[in-house]
Amino acid sequence: MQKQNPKFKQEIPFPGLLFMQTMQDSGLLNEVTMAMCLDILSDSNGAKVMEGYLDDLALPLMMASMNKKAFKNPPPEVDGLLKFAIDGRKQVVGINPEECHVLIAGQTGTGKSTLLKIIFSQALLLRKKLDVKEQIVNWLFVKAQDMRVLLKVSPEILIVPFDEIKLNPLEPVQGMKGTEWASIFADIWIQAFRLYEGSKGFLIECLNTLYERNKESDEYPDLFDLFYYVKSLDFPAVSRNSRYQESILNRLGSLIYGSLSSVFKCSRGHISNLINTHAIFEILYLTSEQQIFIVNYLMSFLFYHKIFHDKGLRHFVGVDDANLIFDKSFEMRPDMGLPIIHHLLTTVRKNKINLFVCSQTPHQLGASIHSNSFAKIMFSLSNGHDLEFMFRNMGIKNEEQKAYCYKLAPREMVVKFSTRYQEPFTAVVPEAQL
Amino acid sequence: MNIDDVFIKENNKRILAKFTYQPRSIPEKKPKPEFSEDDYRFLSLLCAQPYRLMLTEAFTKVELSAGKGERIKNKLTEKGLIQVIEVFKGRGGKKLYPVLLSGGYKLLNMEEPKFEGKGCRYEHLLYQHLIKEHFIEFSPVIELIRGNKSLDVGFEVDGKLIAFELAMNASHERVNLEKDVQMAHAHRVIIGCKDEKVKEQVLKEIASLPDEIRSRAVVCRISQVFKLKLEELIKKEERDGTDEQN
Repeated sequence: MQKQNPKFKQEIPFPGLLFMQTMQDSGLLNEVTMAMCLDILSDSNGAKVMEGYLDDLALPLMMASMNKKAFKNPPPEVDGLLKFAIDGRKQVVGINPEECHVLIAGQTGTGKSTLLKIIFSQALLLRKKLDVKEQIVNWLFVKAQDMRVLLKVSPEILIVPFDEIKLNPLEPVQGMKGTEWASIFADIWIQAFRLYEGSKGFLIECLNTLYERNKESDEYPDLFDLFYYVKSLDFPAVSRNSRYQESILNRLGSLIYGSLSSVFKCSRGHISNLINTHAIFEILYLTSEQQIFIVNYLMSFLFYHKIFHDKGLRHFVGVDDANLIFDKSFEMRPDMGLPIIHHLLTTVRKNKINLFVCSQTPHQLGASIHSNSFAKIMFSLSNGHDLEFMFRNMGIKNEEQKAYCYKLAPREMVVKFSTRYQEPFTAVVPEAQL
Repeated sequence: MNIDDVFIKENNKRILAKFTYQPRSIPEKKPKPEFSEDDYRFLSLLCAQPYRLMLTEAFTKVELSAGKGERIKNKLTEKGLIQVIEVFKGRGGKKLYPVLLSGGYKLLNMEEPKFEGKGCRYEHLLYQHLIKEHFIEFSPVIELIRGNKSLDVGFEVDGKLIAFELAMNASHERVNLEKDVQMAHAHRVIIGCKDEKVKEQVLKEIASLPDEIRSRAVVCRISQVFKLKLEELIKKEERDGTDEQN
């Protein structure tokens, strides 16, 4: 009968193997401990020998257990074409272009932007690799200017100047009828400006009239045409239509006569060019409604463009402060319908649009982004709600693991993939100097 | 590589040079016509019926409200196309008569009717027409010529010539009276004066005329002309001296 080590409640069938595993888990496996292991294996009373060695190593073992990581070290399967982190054993962590999407949660200064820079800088150069056939076009929607360093990787990036770019949100995707685009535009509009179903119906009616009027001409109506048309309509002062009219005119007026005024003065804008261009949209100077509107419009156009014109392009779209467009309050308005972005998330995989979404308050994000992410990355979070939410999302149930998450260091992350390797693990974003 | 604003601007410029867009076409603004349809209708009415209609009657005929008509009147007056003349007919206060001016005829591309006689200003012409209208039962004629003399308005009753002369000023009234009596053989000459001052001047002018000429004249304010009764005028010719009407 084998002697039971008080440390181990079970019998020790293979003391040599157990000793070796213990050393490995504690990070103490080296030449000395391997020699000890050989001694144990070669001795007939290996268990006793093991006990003796464990007593000798009591202090290092104790130190190791204090520093023991709650998360298992990931296997090599976690590597991918786009490398973004490294674990304690120098195992590289990466994703592949076909793996959509990535949710990145963390408070300010934890490494979200650095992570985006690392991924996008590789995406910019991916075409040069021999085994990559797809061309990747990168878009970033950011609220700071720190992504400009990507120009050092490739100068073919447009830092979108909102005083020089031209966009007509009423210009439909080529191949799509104006009346079809009207419904999409109306959805984007009411999401951005928090209007109701009645206003949506009124807006669609107005748009259809405008598209019908412009049917024979080579031009599309623009937001100014919409404004003047809605303004010209005459309704009794106390009617519902006059309220819809007022709602729409207020928002339209602020959009076309505000800071984006010059952007919308066109019949056909630069959107078709932007589809094929790396671009960084610095939206920090726009109002929150303008930000929601612009991001939703561009992404909707991109999505529908790819349905009609599949050129084999893949798009990487990074969104800083994803709460702006993925806020769960959008999903809680049954009268507004599901946000357009929800539909995009559930189908963009087919259309080769990879979303990289950053958030400081992940518990306020809608279910669509949580449900459709290939990779969930959690940096240090300060809010208990956010932490609990991410624990549930990432399947972190172990108390030790949870406790560890409360003490993540800067640039240290917990990663969870939905395929390949499905256990959460820790890694670190390296310092990136571009 | 220094990524500063200058670099970004140049880089953007390079990339945007390959971009195209279709600008918004702004429809040409049709210039607003100087005169509206209502303006033209009003002017056309004055052309068709000159010196006949009061202002309010004209508004009614072209179906203009008082307010709109007033705006049109002011606009056309300002543009020099019409003149609104105040007429006092003795009772009922002043009446306003719109008169089409040369500019108005030109705008309508119509020939302006020519009236003979010296000093044929619009006011003079208006009064001629009003007097004619007032005595219409006697078929008066504007610029009736008798004995090589033109009378402002004249008509015959029982073989007796009644002449009306309008004195906007007193300058020619003495000669007018002389000629009306001696050349045209008018039995009665009614001199309608523009105002009291002109009337006094006229009386002064004709005071030195012989009685047989002076006695044929009735000098009064124009507004009083419309109160005159023909029977009284005819009877008065039998009396001596000028008859001064107040």
